[in-house]
Amino acid sequence: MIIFEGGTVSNMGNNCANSSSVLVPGPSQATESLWLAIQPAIRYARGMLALMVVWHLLSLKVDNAVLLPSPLMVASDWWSLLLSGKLLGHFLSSVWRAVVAFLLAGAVAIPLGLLMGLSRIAEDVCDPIVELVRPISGIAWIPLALYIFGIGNALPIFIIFYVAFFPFVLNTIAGVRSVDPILVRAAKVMGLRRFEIIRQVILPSTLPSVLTGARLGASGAWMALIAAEFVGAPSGLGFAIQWYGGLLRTSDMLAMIATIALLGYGTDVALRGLHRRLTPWAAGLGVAQ
Amino acid sequence: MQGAGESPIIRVENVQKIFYVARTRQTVQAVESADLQIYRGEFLSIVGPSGCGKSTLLNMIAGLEQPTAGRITMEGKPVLGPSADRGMCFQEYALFPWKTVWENVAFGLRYGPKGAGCSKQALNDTVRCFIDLVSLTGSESKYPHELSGGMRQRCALARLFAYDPTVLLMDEPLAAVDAQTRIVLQEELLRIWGQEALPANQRKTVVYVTHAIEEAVFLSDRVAIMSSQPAHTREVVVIDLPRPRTAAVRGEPRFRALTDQIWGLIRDEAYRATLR
Amino acid sequence: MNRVRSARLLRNIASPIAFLVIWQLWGAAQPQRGGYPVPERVLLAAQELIRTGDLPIAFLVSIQRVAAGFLLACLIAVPLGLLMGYFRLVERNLDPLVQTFRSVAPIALVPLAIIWFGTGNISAIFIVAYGAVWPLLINTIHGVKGVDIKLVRAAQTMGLSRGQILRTVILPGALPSMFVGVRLAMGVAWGAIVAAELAVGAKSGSSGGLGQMMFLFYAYSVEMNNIVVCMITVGLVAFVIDRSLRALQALLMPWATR
Repeated sequence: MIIFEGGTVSNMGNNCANSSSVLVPGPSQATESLWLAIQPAIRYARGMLALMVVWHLLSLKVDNAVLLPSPLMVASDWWSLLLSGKLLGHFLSSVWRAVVAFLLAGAVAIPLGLLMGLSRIAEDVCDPIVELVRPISGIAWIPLALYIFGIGNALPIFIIFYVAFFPFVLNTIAGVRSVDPILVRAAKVMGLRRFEIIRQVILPSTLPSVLTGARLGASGAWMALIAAEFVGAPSGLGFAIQWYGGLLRTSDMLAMIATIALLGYGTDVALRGLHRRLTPWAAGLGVAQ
Repeated sequence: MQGAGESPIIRVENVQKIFYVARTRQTVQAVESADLQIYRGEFLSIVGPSGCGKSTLLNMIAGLEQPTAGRITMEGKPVLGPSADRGMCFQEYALFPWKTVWENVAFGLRYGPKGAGCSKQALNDTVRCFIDLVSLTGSESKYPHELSGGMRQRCALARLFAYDPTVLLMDEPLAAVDAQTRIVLQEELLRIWGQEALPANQRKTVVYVTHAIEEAVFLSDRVAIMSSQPAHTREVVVIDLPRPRTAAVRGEPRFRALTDQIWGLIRDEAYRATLR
Repeated sequence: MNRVRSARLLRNIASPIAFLVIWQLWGAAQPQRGGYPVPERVLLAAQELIRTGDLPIAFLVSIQRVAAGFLLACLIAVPLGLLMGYFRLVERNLDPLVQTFRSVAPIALVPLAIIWFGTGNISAIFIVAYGAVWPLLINTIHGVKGVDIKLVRAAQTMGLSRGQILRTVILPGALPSMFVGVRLAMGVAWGAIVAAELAVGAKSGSSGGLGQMMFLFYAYSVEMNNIVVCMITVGLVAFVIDRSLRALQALLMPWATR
């Protein structure tokens, strides 16, 4: 007797014994693809569960809520923070700053990147300045920015803008450069004018790279957000982490950290999905910096 | 076939092309001298060993490159740049990956000068007509990455024909498909070109670059042979096989004789180029 | 052709110079706001900081922590990465954890590190190692997985044992990707140490290093020129590290061109 995935049982005997992945024709197409689709979620849950168990055992061994609170405690604190609205407050502060700064960065960087990619002159003028400033990480700007903006909303927004700016620009330039020349030729021999070629061929070709830049920018942006809020904001998840940490309320702090992790992960998944939806012909990794 | 006394639609006169590679500071002479006359309505192939400059010559006829010396004229006027009158089809298809088959075929009419003043209805009718002509009916909303090699090439052909250029330039369009598909597509190409459906004076002028001698003989009215070292046009062989040409033509003795003749002209160079 | 090249070169050089000149003039035109940073004053401040030894000492503190943290990260990431790259099962199960944790910025763990290890070197090294582990791990896995399976099969048909294949085929094959991981990890490490020192310096005082020095200049003396000097140093070090690693990669692995 052989039991197949999905639980159906069959008496097919030994001639099928070798192929362990044969499914009895019974489950419909829809159920099959659903099963495949939730497999990664199952693996994720499994991995997480294992982690929680190990963590819990460790926390029991350490037996010190300040040093290592148990996952149950963190979960319950997370829940009460949520109910009290504090979590939401910090969460929203962080998110709106990130969104504003990110969109601003895109609005400035993408046209600049297009310009630099298309025009030699623009590239020659802007590139040295970009390359000179780029190694100065967003974090390093915090003290100076603190002086200019003071503590408040402007600081995190500036830092996030700065950090997201470079992946956008660089990937956009790379995108423009990597436009398949044969596509430009094909448009030329159809008699298109330069402007139309830019609009109909170069811009769509650049889209995958821009989205990759968005993904890279987003991950950097979350880091910059935490750092900026840590030092220079009166609210937000980064602020909350150092606030609770300072009060030695480790459990609340970990709850905040977990929220950030989920936020970062969620953004990446969403952008990846966007990438796939908008540009199904081009997957792949981007310009590693 | 060109009538006696009829003047050529495209003249290539004493054309030379030298490339300068900045990085290595070298000059490369892609074409030393090319002379060619192309007549209206004919199917002309250009064959030759690697490095004989056939693709460069085609690019110059298209206007994508400018000759360093000599000149190319079309209908009396000099060729100065790419234009929708000299449509081109590429070995790598050059289909826009973000557009469906339908949108690709419609592209030249929608955004190029040839479609100016064309009503939406007329455009749709034309696109439909050519998609059916190349037997891609039913695949209109597919994207290039969902198509097979043969289908992509047919889509590229439909796109080329749809905006009705005066001259069709083809740079090894069938080189990227497998041998069996290639044979089928050769016959398809002749059918689409209209060897049965259209009288000779209504067919489009085609300039076709290829490596495959048998393909050139099968498809063309004339075959221009180029040599390398130096790269130049050497001779033009008239293919006097009757039209319409079917698969059976490949077995005829005249076919064999023409193929051998052309191969004889370039054999030594081909050996030299390969075994250098 | 040469004319085009020299025109480009001219623009390349003129651009940053023009930038500096404009900056200098604009700063000089500002109402005297006590030491507004201009290139001239920044240079003077840099000279001073180097002379007194403040800058070199801070730099050394930071870079030592980076080196230690990076080494620690290597010891963890490389074996784990090889394991995960080679055994699909391990990777599939650990991957969700990796993906979740790598989105947590190192700086978010600073308070936790302080609770566990205090505000000294160990905390700093921990933060650096945490940050550096992820690029190293991910790129090692990517490198191992990217080894062409045909190469492995070719070695198998030549009778090599599993261990030999690991050593002579997989490791060299994965090396270029691993090296990219090293480059990224060093970048992250350097960023993490500055961030960590900044954060700790902002909240509790003694941490040493460039990051803290930068914050002290902001908090206690508002000497903006000094802050800019620190910023430029941070940038310069990051640049030098990245370029040297790139050059090293080109030297050691010429077959892996980008």
